[in-house]
Amino acid sequence: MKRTILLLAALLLLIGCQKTPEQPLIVPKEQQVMVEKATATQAPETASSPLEVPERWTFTEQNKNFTYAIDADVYVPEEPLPMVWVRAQGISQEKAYDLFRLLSCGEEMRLPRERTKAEIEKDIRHCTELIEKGPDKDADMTREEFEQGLLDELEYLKKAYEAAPETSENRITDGTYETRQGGRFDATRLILDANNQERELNIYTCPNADDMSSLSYYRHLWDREVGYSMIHAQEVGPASPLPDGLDYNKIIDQVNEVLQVMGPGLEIATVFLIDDAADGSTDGIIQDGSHYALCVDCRRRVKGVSVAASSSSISRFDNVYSIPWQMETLRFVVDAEGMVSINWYEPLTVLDTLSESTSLLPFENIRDVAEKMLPIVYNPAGREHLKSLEVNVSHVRLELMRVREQNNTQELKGLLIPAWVFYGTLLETESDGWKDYATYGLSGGYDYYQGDEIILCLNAVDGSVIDPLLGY
Amino acid sequence: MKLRQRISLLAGAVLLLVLLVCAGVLLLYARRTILSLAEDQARDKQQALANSFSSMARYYAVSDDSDSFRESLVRYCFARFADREGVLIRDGDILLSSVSVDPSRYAQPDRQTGDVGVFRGPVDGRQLLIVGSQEWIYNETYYVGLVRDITEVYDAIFRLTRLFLLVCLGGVALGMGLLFFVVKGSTAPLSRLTAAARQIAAGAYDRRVQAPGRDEVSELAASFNHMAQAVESRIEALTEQNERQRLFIGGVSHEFKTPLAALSLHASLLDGAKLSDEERADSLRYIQGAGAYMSRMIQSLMSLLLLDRGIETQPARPAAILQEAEQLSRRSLQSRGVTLQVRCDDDDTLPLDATLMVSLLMNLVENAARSYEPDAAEKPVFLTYADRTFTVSDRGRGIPSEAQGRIFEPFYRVDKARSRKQGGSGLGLALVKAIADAHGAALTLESEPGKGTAFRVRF
Repeated sequence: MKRTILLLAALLLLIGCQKTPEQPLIVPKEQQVMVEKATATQAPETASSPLEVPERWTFTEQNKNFTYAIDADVYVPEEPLPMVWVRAQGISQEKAYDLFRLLSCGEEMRLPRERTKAEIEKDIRHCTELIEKGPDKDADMTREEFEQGLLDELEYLKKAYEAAPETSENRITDGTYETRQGGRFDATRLILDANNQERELNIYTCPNADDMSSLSYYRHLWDREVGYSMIHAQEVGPASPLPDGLDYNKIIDQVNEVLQVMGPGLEIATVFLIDDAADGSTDGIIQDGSHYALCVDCRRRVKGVSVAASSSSISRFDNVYSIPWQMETLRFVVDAEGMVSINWYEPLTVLDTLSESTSLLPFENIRDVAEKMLPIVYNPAGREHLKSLEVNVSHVRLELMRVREQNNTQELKGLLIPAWVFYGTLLETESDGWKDYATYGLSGGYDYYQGDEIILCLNAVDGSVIDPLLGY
Repeated sequence: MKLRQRISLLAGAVLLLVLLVCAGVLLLYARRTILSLAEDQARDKQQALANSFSSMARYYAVSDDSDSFRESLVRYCFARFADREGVLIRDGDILLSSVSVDPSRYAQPDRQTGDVGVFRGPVDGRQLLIVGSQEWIYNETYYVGLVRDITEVYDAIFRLTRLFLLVCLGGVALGMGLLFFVVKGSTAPLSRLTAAARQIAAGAYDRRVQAPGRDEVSELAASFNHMAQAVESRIEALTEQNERQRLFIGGVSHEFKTPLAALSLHASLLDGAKLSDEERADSLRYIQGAGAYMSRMIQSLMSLLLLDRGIETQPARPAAILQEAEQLSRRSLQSRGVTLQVRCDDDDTLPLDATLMVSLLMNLVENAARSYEPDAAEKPVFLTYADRTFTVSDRGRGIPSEAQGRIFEPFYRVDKARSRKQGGSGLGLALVKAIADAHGAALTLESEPGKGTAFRVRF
């Protein structure tokens, strides 16, 4: 009997040990095929002549209440189109020190004070009272939803209470990062939160590229009720008339000074004149210069070719567990007093070059695909709630588009590939007449113009549609 | 190995076998159901993907579309509906895929019936479920595949199997443990029976076992108790018989001592002494009487020892009893200086065994004679009958009150040393009591130390 039992036990152990080894499904076939095709033949040194692009591209079509229009200049870089691996490695400490010194203007800046146990305890009490009280009568949620939300908050507060100090103070910072665990994916992040009530600098960086990195700088406009906005944005250039007090060149120099510290590859793309009349009270007549600023959008250039950028597109895999990766965006707002704000999301680090010069599909093929795909991508089916949609493409650029490394859900790594990027506006009109400036794929929208959005993106190698939201 | 251990092990083995069989059947069924469900889900998803993709592509497809657009359209339509499990192949070229396997190698649809192809099995160390079908767009054949990694499902089944087996083993172990205690409890009466048997063998004949219930063990216990009762009764009977035999032997020696002594005396007188004819005749009559008495005594003693069979009584005159007792005792008493005074106040008859009554009176007279110190000046013993009561009294040392309750016990003596010296066996009063009890008469005692004793036998 004992032998039988021992035998069974041994068998069980064997069964228990024989778990299937974990092997990820590797090598994305499709991307590999595309790369092989792109690097199969050496492309000419310049991209423009073989492509035979028109200076202006016009096209219109209508499908029910949806209209599609391309009235765009076509930009093709002179440099050959490369394929380059990139990664979101964030902002190094050295660069953070340089930016801190520049943006703090030599003034003392302090780290935010840690919340003490007493303060958190107060919040815990308040939370508990709210749970007992329940939701307001006109609250748009059930009691269970209300309670669950507060219970989650309570759990967070209790954990914070455990780690909180008895007392805390605002320490002076020299721009050194502090390590913290957190964020959406509980990644190890280096964080600098510096503030002196006049200006604030926040740099979040993930050296492992497993969460988003960003830099935000604000000069607090305590004397203004409303800050600057893009509602009345107008594209301007060096020769454009500007309100008094705004010196275009001076502002550009200030921006360039920061760009130099940020690192190579970044350059100014578009400059807008904006104001602080959020309610739209201006009638287009230039007022006092103190109400105006310049909004400077920048983009990266790799091997002389610009990288596509859109402020609103965040790519992610359809797998909800992958890490969202926003396209790199860099925007400055500068007024007569100086830098008002800087927002730099997902700085890219260029890695290996896969191809110096990529073979591209002829432009006519692209044209054919674009003019047919545009109405398909923005077809009315399933969008019956829209009264109308106006798709207006104002710029078409052959540049580098970032696609994500397939099946890599653990880090922010991708490939810059040549792509035809169609910029413009998607103007939705709802059934109640409300208008929206939608984002790619009509996935979101703004009440007012924020700058040109990516409307369509075609892989310049094979003509396939690249979805910026998916990243492939 | 003990019975309970054998039963527990056997039951455990049977239980394990049954559980394993049941578990095996259940697990196989569960495995088949889970995998079948997974396959159905994959089929449904693949079909939805294929239908949506092909519907959309065909909707927008125009026969004169350029190759670039066709490729772009097909890819776009597929990407709209496919997630990371979808694979699109055309002429062996993978157009869209996030996996490293070529599903068309594993799951080929039936060209004739159009049924989807399904494959489930190991590929590159993983368990994959692949479903594939063919769609026609632009008069070209596209393979729409769905590759689903179900390694987790298999792992879950393995974990479930392992858990199930562990639970079975745990259940069996627990069951065996419980069974062991249950069997132990059930067989406890057997242990008690064993212990009781040993105790009875050691002499505790009154030992019994308790076994409530109606099962075989209870029946065995009841039978054991019955047997123990029979043994105890037999032992008691044998003991009693042995005791009676001892009493008989003791009684015989006790009762014969006096007449034999007198016989010896008379015989000596006849042999050596110069006696007158009257004295010689007297001695001869005594010898005859003593012989007859001894003969009757043996019979009576036999009857007494067999008292459970009862005695035979006949009407007899107490006066005659008194007379015979006097005659048989006189010589022995005279030699010790004891005077016997006999008086019979009533001349009636009583149902008696005359011989036993004579023995009773002689024992009481003898006992009275011994109550005097050997150098006492006067040693009267009074033997009377009146009002259906025989009385033997003396004025001797008396019997202490603490001894009066035990005086009739066999072999009990108030003063052992003196009694032996005087020749007593300790059976006399026991015989008196046995004879009185056999006749149904009440035997009472009155005694006061230093003043004397009176025994009364009342009918």
